Order: sequence, then structure tokens, then C-alpha cells
Amino acid sequence: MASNKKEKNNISEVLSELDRVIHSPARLMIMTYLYIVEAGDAVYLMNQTGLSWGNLSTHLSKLEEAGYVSINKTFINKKPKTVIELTDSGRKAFIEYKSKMKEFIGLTD
Amino acid sequence: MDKHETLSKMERKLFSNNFQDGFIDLLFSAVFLQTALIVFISRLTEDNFWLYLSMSAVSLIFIGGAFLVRKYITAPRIGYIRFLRKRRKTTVAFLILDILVLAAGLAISFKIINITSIINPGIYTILPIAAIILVLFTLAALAFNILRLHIYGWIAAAAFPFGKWLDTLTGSRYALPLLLLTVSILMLGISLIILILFVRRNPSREEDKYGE
Repeated sequence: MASNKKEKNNISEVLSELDRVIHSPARLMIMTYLYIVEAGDAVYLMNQTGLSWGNLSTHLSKLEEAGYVSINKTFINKKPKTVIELTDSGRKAFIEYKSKMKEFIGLTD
Repeated sequence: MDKHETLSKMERKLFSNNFQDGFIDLLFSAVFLQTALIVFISRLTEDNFWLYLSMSAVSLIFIGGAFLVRKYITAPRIGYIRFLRKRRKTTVAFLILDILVLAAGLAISFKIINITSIINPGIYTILPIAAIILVLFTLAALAFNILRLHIYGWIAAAAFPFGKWLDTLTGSRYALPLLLLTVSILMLGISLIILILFVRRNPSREEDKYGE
């Protein structure tokens, strides 16, 4: 009984420690697709996540506010491109989020 | 561990999908078409360096076309992706290895096969050429993680001894070059079908509007 209560507390604790910025499905997709590459543009993210320009823009703004992504306007082949990449803190946050989720799944299994 | 493997697989699939637009297929088809044309021309006429060189121009036109299609049609649809340093290093290593095999292969070929024997090669002189082509395609297949290139490699490599056998069987000097031309045109056709399907499945995105 006591062990059950302790486990429940642990589950709540782990859940409360989950990063709310990453936890949204759309932002989690964006973070995942940025994590597996060095950088990508908006077309790449739209293709992979299925999000519209508007949705993508909104979620990227939130991730940028949290300091997880950097958005840079640059020229590639003489064409303007918006290149998005995870910052160091974004990579750390994603790894941390993964380990918290693993911990949560481990506790609930 | 599982999560990491899944992410690795995702990255691998993403990299492979980046070349599912027929670009690599077109490049390799063009190189093979050039080989087929040189063998064909060599059987039609006397040794003619300038004619062989003009065959290279045909292949260069296809290669240039493939790059233009990639730049203006398919790349904007795929989007810009800068892969992780490890992936870029692996790909470059495979491509360097591919070029080294090609160079070594050519050197070995010229040592054991002179130009006269290319015009009418024996079955044992044709086997090294087939082996080089197979290695080239296999390395490219591993570099870009495209299964099709393995299949192209086996078909292209098998075409040499099979064509030679047809030469002997039919008594015609055109069986081998015609078979090589057929295989290369088949590869070009498949590349174009892949390209058309890719363009149809991936609608054109207007220029990156994010932040405007």
C-alpha cells in the first residue's frame, strides 16, 4: 500500500517535471524532426509534420521563446530561406524530455 | 536504447527519402548510357576518340539535366535539410570510395583490356568490367540507402556476360551493345517514372513564406 502511494507520487512527480513546451504533439514532432538533423527549413518541417504554414509558425514561435530553436533567415542558392535548428538547450531539453517519458513509461508498465 | 534506435531509423529513412526523386537514378542511368553508347559506337565504326568524346557529351547532358531538375523541381519540394555531421561524413566516405573504385577499375581495365579487345572483348575480359560496375552501384546503394541501386547494379553487371553470350549465340556483333543500350534506356525510363511520380505526389510549395 505504502509502495503504491510512493509509486503514485513518483508518477505525479515525473509528470509534473515533463517539459510543457515540448509536450504538445505538434511541438514534439517539430523537436523530433529537428533533433535528427542539424537544420532544416519550413518546407522540410511542413512535409514531415503535416502542419500548415500558420500552425508551424505559431509552434516555432513558442519553441523560439523557450530558447529551444533558432530561426535564421539566410540565402541558399541565391534564394531566401528560413533555416531552423535546435539550440544546445533545445537538444538538452529534448534528451531530458525523452528520459522523463521513459521514466514515466517504466513506472506505469 | 529502443528510442535511440527508432530515432536513428527515422534519420536513415529521412536521408533515403531525400533521394527518392529519381535524381540518383538519373545520374547512374546517364553513366551507364554512356558506357552502352561507347560500346555501340565502337562496334559501328573504327576507333574514333572524338566520337567517344561526343558520347560523353550525351551523358553530360543527362547529368546536367538531372542536376537542373533536382535544383529547380524536386529540391524545393523536399525542402532544405542539413544532415548531421556523422551522416555527411559517411556519405562523402562512400562517394570517395566509389570514385577510387572507378579509378582503380579503369586502371585495371586498361591494363588487361586494350582498346581492340573492348571492341570485341572475350568473356574473361568482360567480367572485370561487370565486377567494377557491380561494386560502383553497390557502394552508391549503401551510401544513399537505396535498394533500387543494388538491383540496377546486378542487372547492369549481368548484361555484360549475357550480352557476350548473345554475341556468340547469334553471331552478331551488335547483341552486346544493343542489350546494354536496352538496359540503360530501361534505367532512364524508370528514373523518369520515379521523377514524375515524385512530382505528382509532392505538390509545389511556394517559396519559403515563413516569417513574412
